[in-house]
Amino acid sequence: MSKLLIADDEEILRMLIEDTLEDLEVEIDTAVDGDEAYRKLSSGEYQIVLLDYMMPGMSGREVLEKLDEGLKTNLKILMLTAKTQKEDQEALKSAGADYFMAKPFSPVELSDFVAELLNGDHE
Amino acid sequence: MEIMNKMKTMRSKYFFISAGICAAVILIFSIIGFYTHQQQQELLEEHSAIYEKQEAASELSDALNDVFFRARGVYAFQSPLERERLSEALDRYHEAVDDYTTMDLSGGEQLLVSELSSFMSDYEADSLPTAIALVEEGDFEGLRELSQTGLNITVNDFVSYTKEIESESEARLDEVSRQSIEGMTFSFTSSLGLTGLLILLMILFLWKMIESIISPIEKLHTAAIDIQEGRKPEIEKSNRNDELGSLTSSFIDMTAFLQRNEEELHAQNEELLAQQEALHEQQDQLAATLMETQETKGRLELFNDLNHVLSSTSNRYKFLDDMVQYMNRLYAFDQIMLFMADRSAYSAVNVSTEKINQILHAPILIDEKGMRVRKRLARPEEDDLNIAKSYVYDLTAEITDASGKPLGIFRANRYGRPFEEEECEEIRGLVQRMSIAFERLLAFDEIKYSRELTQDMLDNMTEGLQLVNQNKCMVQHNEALCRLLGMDTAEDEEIECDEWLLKIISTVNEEQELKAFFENTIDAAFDGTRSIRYTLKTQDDSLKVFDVYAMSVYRDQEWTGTIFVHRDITKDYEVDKMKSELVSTVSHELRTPLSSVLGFAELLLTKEMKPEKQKRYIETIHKEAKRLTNLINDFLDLQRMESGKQEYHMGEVKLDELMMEVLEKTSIPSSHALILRDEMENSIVKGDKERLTQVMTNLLNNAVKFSPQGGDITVRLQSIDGKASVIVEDQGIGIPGEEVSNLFQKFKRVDNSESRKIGGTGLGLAICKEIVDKHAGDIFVKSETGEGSAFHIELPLMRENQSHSITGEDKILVLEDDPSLALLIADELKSKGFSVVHHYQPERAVEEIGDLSFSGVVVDLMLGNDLSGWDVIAQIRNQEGNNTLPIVISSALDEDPEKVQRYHITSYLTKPYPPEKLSAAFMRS
Repeated sequence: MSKLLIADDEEILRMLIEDTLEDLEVEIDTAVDGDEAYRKLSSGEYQIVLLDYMMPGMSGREVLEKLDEGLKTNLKILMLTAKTQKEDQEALKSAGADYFMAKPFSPVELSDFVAELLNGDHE
Repeated sequence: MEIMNKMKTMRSKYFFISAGICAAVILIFSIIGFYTHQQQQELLEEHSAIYEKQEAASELSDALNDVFFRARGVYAFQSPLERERLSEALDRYHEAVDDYTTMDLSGGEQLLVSELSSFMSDYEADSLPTAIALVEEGDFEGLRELSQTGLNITVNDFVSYTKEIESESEARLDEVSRQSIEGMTFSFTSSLGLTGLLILLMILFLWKMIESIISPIEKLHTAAIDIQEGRKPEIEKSNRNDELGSLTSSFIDMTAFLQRNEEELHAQNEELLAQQEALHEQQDQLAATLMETQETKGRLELFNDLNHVLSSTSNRYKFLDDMVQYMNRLYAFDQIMLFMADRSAYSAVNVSTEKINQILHAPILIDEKGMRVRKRLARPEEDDLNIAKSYVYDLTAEITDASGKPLGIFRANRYGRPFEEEECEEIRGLVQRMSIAFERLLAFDEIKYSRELTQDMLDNMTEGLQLVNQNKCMVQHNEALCRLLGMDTAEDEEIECDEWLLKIISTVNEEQELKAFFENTIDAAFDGTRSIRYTLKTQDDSLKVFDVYAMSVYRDQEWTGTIFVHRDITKDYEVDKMKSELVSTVSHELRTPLSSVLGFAELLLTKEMKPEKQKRYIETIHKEAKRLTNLINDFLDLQRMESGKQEYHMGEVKLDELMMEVLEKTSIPSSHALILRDEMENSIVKGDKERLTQVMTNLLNNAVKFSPQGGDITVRLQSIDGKASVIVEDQGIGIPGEEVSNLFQKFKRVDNSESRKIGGTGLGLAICKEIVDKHAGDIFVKSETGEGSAFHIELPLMRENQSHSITGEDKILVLEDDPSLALLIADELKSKGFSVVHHYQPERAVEEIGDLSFSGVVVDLMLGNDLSGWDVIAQIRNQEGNNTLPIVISSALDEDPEKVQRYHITSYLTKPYPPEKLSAAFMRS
C-alpha cells in the first residue's frame, strides 16, 4: 500500500485531511512541523506528501530544498498553501513541488486528486 | 724691458757667484778624492804583490825542504812508497819554482833562483840517482860522502834567502800601510782647510749681499714713513743699476706724482664745497615741493579708496561707515552723518545717539533737491570749545536715483570754516556718485536676498536636488542632496560631470543602473519625468531607498539642462513591504481556520457518518469559526489602533479595583491557583478603563494558556517611584531569550511546537503594547524557558505617593471571593500599612500560611469551594506555629461562639461592618 505524509502544523487541518482521505487505499502518516516532515521524508518510504508551506521551524520550501534530489523524483509533492502568488509558486516549483492546492481547499477535490495520484493518472 | 734686464743683472749676479763657489767646492773635493783614491789603489797593489812574492818564496822553501825530507826517507826506508812521495815533492818544487820565476824579481833574487834551478837540476839528474844507487848498494859511506859535497850549502842559502824575503816583505808591507795612512791624513787635513776657507768666503759674500740690499730698503722705508706722515722724503736718486736702483727711482717718481695730485685735489675740494652749498639750497626747495606732492598724493589715494568703496562695497553698513570715514578725512567735517532713506542703516561721527535717533525719526524736510549749504549761528553746545567760531556751516545733500526717488541723506557740518566753492563742487560730484552706489547696493541686496531665498528653499527641502546644465556640469545642488548621499556640503562652483556622477554612484548599490539613468537623462531634452529607484550603501544593515526623478529644464523654450530630485522613500518602502507582509500573514492566518470550517462542512455535506462524528465536526467548525471571529476582531482592533482611529476615553482608573474585576470575570481553571499580591498604596492612573481591562484580561489569559501544566498565576500590584506596576506571573513554558524582542510585534508568536499547540491570533500582545503605549506606559517581559514568564506593565500614577507606609513586611492574607468586599478589605488594610495577599484557592492559601510569613488572616466562611472557611481555619490552627496567628472572620453568617472559642478567632465580623473594625482587630492583636 502506498504511503502518504501529511505535514501541517495545525492539528485540526491534519485531522481534516486524515478524515478526508480515510476511504482511500493509502497508509497515512502525519508530521507536525518542517523538521519532522524532513526527517520522515528522508526515509524514502512515502510516495505522496501533502506539504504545508508555513510551518514553525523549517518551512515547506526549506524542507523541499533540503531534501535529496533522488528522493524527490520518486515523491509526488502536493503543496497545500495559502501562498497563491505566481512568484511563490515558481520558487516552490524550482524547489521540487509538483502540484499546488490553495487553502482553503475542498476535501472532495483533495480526495479526488490524491486518488488520481494513487492511480497514476497524473504521471 | 730695461727693468727686466736690470732685475736680471742682480739676480744673475748672485746666482753666478753662488754657482761658482759651489763648482769650486765640488772640483776641489773631487781632485782630492781622486788623488787619495789613486794613491790608495797603488799602495794596495804593491801590498798584494809583496804578499804574493812572500807566499811564493815560502812555498818554494817548503817544497825544497819537502824534497830533501822525502829523499832522506827514500834513503832510510828504500820503499817504493817513499819514492813515489819523493817524485810528488819534486813535482811540487817544480811548480813553486815556476810560480816564483813569474814574479817581479830583483837581480839578486833572479841570480839566486837560477843558482837554485841549476843546483836542483844537477841534484835531480845526478846527485839523487847516485845517492839512490848508493843506498841500493848499501854504500852509506858513499852516501855520506856525497852529502858532504856542496849540495846542502846551496839549499841552505836558498832557505835562508826565503826567510829573508819574508822579513823584507813584511817590512815592505808595514811601509805600505804607513804610506796609506799618511795619504789619508793628508787628504782629510787638506779637505778641512779648504772647507774652512769656503765657509769664510761664503760669510763674506752674504755680508756683502745683505749690505747692498738692506740699506737701500731701509732708506725707502724711512722715506715711505715720511710721505705717510706728510714730510718731504729725503732720498737721492741711486746710481745703482739693479732692481733696488729701479725701485728707488720709481719711488722718487711716485712721490713726485703724489705731491702733484695732492695739490690738484686740494684745489678741487674747494670748488666742490662751493657747489655743495648751492645744492643745499636746491634741496630745501625740493623738500618743500615734495611735501606738497605728498599731500596731493594722499588726497588722490583717499579719492582712489573712496572710488573703490563707491564701486565695489556690497555690504551697506560697511559702505556707510567707509563713506563717512573718507568724507571726513577729505573735508575735515566736525559732524557727519549718512543714512539710507528707508532708515535701515546709518553711520555717523561725532553725533550723539540722541541726535541720531532724532534725525532718523524726524520726517525728511528737504525743500530743495540736490545739495545745499546753510550758515547759522552756533548753538551753545556746539561752540563750547572756541568762542570765536560763532558760525556753523550745515551741509545737507539728498541722494536720489535717476527718477528722483530718495535713496539716502548726507548731512555734515563744520564749525567756523565755510565750504569753498571748489569743495562744494567736489562734494556734489561725490554725492552723485553715491547715488549710483546706493542703487547698486540696493540691487545687490535684492539679488542676494532672492538668491538666499532660493538657496533657503533648496536647502530646506527634504528632497535632494541637483541641476545639471547642457555641459553635464552640476551647477546647483542643495544640502539635502549632500546629506542624503553623504557628500561634502554644497559648494558654489560647478562640478564636472565625472566628479559628481562618480560621487553619487559610489554611494549606491545599483551603480550601473543609476549611471545609465544619469547618462540617458543629461544628454538631451526629453518629455515628461523619468525616474529610477536606488538603495544607498550603508554601514549597518539598514536600508535606505531613494527615488530619483529627472525632468528637462527649459529657458525660453530652449533646453538648458536637467533637474534631478532625489526622494528618500525608505519609510514608504518599508510601510509597503510591511503591508504586503501583513497581508500575506493575515491571509495565511485567516485561511487556516477557514480551511477547517469549509473542509469539515464539506465533509458533513458529502459523507455519511455517525451522529457523534457529525457533532464533533460541528463543534470543530464552531470553534474554528470563533477563532476566525477573534482573529478578525483582533486584527480590526489593531488596525484601528495603529491608524489612530481608536478612541480612548481617558479618565481616572483605580487599578486595584480594575484588577479585581478582571480577576472575577476571567475564568481561571482549577489547575491554576490565582494569587493577588496587593501592595499598591496609590492606584489611580489616567486611562481608558475598557482598554486597560482588555490588556489585563489578555495577559491573564496568556498566563493560563502558556502554563498548560498549571501552577500559580500571581498578579502583583505595586506603586513605586510615581509608577503603578502590574506584574502577571505564571509558571509555564516561558519564552526563549531571542524571541523576547519580537514578542510584541504582530503575528510574532513564539515559534515552537509547544507554543504552536496553544494557538492564538498572535495579535494579543501587539494590541497590549499599542494600548500601553497610548497610556504613556511601558510593557515588558522577564522570562526563562521552562520557568515561566512575568509580564510587567508600568503606568504613570496620577498622584505621587504621599508616604511609603506599605513596606510589604506586614502581610495579611485575605480569603474572600466577593470582589467588592475583597476590595473594601484591602483598601482598609492597605490604609493601615498592611500589604494584602488575596487567595482564590483555599488549599493554596493554607499552604502559603504554613510558611509563617503573615501577620494575620481574613477569612470568609462561604468560599463557594469544597473547602469552607471553618475547614481552612481548622487547617491553619493545625499548622505548627500558627495556633496564635490572628484570624478575623468576615461573614454574612451569624457568629458561632463555640467555634470562635475553639479556634481562637481574634474577631468575628458580621457583614456589613465598618472596615475600621477589621484593621482595629489586627492592630489590637
